Amino acid sequence: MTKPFKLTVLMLALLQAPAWAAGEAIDQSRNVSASEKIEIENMRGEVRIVAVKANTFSVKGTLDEKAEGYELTSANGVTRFAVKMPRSNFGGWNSDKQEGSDLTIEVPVGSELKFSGVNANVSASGIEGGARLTTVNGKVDAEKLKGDIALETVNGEISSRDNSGRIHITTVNGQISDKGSAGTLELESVNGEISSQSSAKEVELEVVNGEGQLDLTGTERLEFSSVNGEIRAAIKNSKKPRISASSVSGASRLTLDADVSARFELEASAGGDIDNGLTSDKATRAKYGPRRHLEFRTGSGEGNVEISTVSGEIELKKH
Amino acid sequence: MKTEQQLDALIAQLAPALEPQRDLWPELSERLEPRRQPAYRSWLGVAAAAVLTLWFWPQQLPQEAEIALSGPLAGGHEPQAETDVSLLAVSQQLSRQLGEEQTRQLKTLQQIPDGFSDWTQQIAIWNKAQSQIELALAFQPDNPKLIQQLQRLQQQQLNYIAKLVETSELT
Repeated sequence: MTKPFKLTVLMLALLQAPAWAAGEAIDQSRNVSASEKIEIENMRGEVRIVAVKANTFSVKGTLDEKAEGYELTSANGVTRFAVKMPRSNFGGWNSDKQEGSDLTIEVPVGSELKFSGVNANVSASGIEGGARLTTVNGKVDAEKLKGDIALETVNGEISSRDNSGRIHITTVNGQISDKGSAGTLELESVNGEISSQSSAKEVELEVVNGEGQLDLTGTERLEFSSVNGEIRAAIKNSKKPRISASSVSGASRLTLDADVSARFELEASAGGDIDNGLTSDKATRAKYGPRRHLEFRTGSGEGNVEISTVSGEIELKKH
Repeated sequence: MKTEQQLDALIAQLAPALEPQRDLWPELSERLEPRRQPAYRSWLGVAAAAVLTLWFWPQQLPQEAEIALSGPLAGGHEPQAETDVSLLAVSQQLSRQLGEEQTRQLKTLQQIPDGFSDWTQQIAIWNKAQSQIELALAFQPDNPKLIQQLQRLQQQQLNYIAKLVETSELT
């Protein structure tokens, strides 16, 4: 065998390495109850979880190439599937997700789902018994879920579409995008940006440095807070909202219906600004100290709006 | 046999407070074993005290403010203000101790997980924000909203650190 030929064979072999490294194939299914509790654990890779009408649990695809097998048990209304990994680190952020498992999992519509991963992207849709999707470095994509819903990542995007129930979405550095949510909604981020178009009755949003943009319809209770970040909240079709907001040096900008009926109390403790575009009332400055304060009422004052800042901005506008 | 009334009369003749003839404490203290506490107890104590102080404090404030306002004399406000200021000082001191301890423990972590490499900067942001609120509290020491904000920042910081440690264990 000539030297160039050997090199060519070697290079071809190296190019084929990912195929060799692909994990064990899996194709398993179990009969389960309509309201089965389903726990899935997969440390790396891509996992798609979809709801089906049949009372079956099935998992198809390939396991992580470093997996040491898997565990699948189903008894007493609880089904558990875990890809067994050696006890070591799972790689860092931006590690190639193609190195991990690639799985499609089907669960009954009425099941209650719990997924946990580390360097994993996860998507889930159509599950109505509640879902908790947790990863560390990866994306979370949730669509048409119902019940108690918790979506969490540290680094990665969270996309939530048409979910309803008690929804809690949290990230440290990732971005949150929510559309069409209903019920109650909690959104938390340290550094990431948050946007939501929601008709949830109750909404809470908390950011530290990140920014928030809320476009709400019919929301009756809204709470938001930031440290340095800017939050813009616009509410339509809410005549007597209960709103509470605070910031340290960040900005709180609120847009309400022109015919809103509420009592307003706005306060800037130490150097902040208050800009009232809702009525002609102006903030007054304390005789001693840097405090500014504004109280007024619109309509018969049925709702309640309290916004405070230390040195940030407060802005009120009408649609 | 003495009647109940006679006994009551004799009891009434006794001194209202009875004291031992000598100081009993030195003998008692010698018989007590010295108490040793693990080092982490002090840290837990500080954390628990900080949490309890921050937890109960804002709930007490409105009542205290009402009492102060309903007092008949203007001078009656001063002791209340002093109490508020001292509570604030205690709370701030505990928060600082807690923060210093957290920072010390975080520095012992072998590996900082992805997404938390700038944790010192993040903590600095919270500390700066807390300083701003404390400055505002200097003008309005009994403002419950400011105290709630301070409490929220503390909670955010604790959650962040808990998440950092949890992520470090996972990855």
